Amino acid sequence: MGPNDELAEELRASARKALDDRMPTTVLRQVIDTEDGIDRSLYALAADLGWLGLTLPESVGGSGGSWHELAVVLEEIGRALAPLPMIASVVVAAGAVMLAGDDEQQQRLIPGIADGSAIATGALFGASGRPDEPLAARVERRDGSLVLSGVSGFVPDAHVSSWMVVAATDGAVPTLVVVDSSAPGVRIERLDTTDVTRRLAHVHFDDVVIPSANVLAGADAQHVIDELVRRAGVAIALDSVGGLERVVEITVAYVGEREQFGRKVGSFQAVKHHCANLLVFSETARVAGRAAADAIDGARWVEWAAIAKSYSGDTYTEATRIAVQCFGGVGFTWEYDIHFYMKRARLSQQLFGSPTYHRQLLTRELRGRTAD
Amino acid sequence: MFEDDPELQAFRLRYREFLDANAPRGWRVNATSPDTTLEIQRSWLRTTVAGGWGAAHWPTEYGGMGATLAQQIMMQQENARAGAPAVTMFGMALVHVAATLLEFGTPEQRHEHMPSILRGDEIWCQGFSEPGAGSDLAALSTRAVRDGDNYIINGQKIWSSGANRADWCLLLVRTDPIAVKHKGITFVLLDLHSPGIEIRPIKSLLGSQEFCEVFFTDVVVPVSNRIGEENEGWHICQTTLATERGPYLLPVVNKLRGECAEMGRLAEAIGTDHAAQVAASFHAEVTILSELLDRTLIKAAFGKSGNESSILKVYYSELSQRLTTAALEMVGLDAQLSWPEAFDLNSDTFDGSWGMSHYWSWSWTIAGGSNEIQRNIIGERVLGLPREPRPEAKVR
Repeated sequence: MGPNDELAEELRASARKALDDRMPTTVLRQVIDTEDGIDRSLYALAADLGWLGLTLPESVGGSGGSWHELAVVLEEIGRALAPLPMIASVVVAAGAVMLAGDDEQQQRLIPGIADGSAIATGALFGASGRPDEPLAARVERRDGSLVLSGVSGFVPDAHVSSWMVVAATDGAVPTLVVVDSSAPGVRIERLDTTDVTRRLAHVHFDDVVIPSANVLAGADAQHVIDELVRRAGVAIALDSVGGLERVVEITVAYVGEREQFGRKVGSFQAVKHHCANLLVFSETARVAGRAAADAIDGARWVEWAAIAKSYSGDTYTEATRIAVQCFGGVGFTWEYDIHFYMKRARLSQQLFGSPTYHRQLLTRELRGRTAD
Repeated sequence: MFEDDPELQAFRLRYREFLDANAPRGWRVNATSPDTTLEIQRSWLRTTVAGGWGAAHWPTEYGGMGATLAQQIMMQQENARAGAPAVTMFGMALVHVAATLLEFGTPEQRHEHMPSILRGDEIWCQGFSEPGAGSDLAALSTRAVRDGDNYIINGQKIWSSGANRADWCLLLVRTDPIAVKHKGITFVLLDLHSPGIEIRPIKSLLGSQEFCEVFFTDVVVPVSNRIGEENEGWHICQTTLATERGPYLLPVVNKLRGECAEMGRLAEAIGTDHAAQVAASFHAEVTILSELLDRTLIKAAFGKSGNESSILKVYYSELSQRLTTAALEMVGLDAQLSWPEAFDLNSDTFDGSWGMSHYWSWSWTIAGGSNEIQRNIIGERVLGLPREPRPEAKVR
């Protein structure tokens, strides 16, 4: 539409090219077999291309861009299934410090995120990793210092992090603290997930001493956690939008080549209509994701965030169900790529709150609006 | 969309003022028959035209507003908010006829019809489908034979909405019976008051007389009423049909938003988590549909190719069907009672009858190219999948 869109499309073209060159699924298959499961040279390239600092302020090493552009990068990463810890590091960890940290904390922690020299994550939930269940980490004051103990479950990319933002209870209320991932008492328990393109870990805290400079006290912790759930949810939705787009392409390409009964199977209406349904899912999810990205901080942000996260989770999951069906027998093999999308869809659906949870948030928001 | 544009907001407020001062109130009470509904709509059409707010999408040289798509979208929102009568019975004239005349009509044809349409003096219907030409529209066989300066027409049309109250008809006829089927079709404007026309209303599953069969026996149509060249009608009717899936969807999507809001109230009254989940899920989908429609219209206005019309139609019509199905369960047996009388089926606000909305939804999954045909279009024209092998190719 406007110049904004031209800029976004340029960014898309360069991101598409970088990921096509550096992370085709042949390379992805090698990366997922490495110990950490991420490509550090690609992460360095992401920093060089300005993806990491895109929405961070210039004063801390970012470029002060908008979510309109970040959306493009997240879509392209989802499309390529790229194993990059961007949502954890940029959206969640840097987001928390920008929302709740003071100047000193922002200056100390954010430039490393923007230039890619540090990777961080957020351990925001209890043992189940669900935002609707109680926190299982707590802080106490002991001999004049703050001590963290307990557990955070299913933390994305904790295994490659140098620091993390941890949500813990302080008495009856939550608080946010920055924890050095290599500090004494921090144990990162790596998990084997079905989605091999993302890594999760349980993080155990055994009397970890938190320096007072690492308490993020600049804003109400619960409000910050809620906002991070929305932002991470929309980021996941945009990742799903890119994935959905690619699922449509590879499924259509396959059924346009595969022949049975002397015809391309895509000429059969039963298969063609499956593909039409995939496109309907893809186009509607894209509208939801982009509307949400454009709505950030606006009057309809809370509403759109809940819509985008719940709808993209359900449609990506359903679309990959249909897509595997269209591939037939080869869709059930490890050799074809479609199962990577199928599994990324299912993890995405549950990470940072299930569709059911986000619809509860939506109901709450709409109810509040009627009450006003 | 558009919440942040001050000029558009000023436009919205001006239109809101006009509606507050002029939109009739309590008109639904008087809309007790198709004839009274027609008069309410005619009067409202004239009021909007007199106030400078009529035919928003028409160019100003033909008496329209020349409004931008963003302005049209806003006006639809304000219409719904004010509960103004929708001019559905003039929809074919204002939308389909105008689009066809503006793109393919002669200056004489435009000047003959467009001013009368604005005055509310011409009601139009569409004569496309036939008993043997539904999804396979190009198989139509109503015959037109050239006789000097006239065509002589014989045959039958079906599913012509509102033909029993219409003055004119957008008609597709076969002028070349030998050519490949879509190359022998001609598009004409037919005066329904001509001799030799018989119109029989069909009672729909709603119990209403929504559409008609139309029979032609030696009906004379002047060649000057032809749109475009002879045998070029197939191409022209694609323009007519495409209008159904563009701005034409704005009022029906607004109605669905109204229904969705009502579902939210139902869910609150029921008070269970399950009802809240169902309502939230539909709120998400209806909001996405509305955004998709707005973005598609804006993109079309910027001249980018849009293949979204079939996607919109499939998504809207099935969402409407799913939403009303869920509403029937929320309401319970109350929704199984018949509604007073189904007159204003195209109303752009929720009118209190879930049953009527529910059963009416099939008119959208079947009419205007069934959703199966739409999915073929998406598969073949948008995604580039191979066509189904043609049966006739096998015979030859």
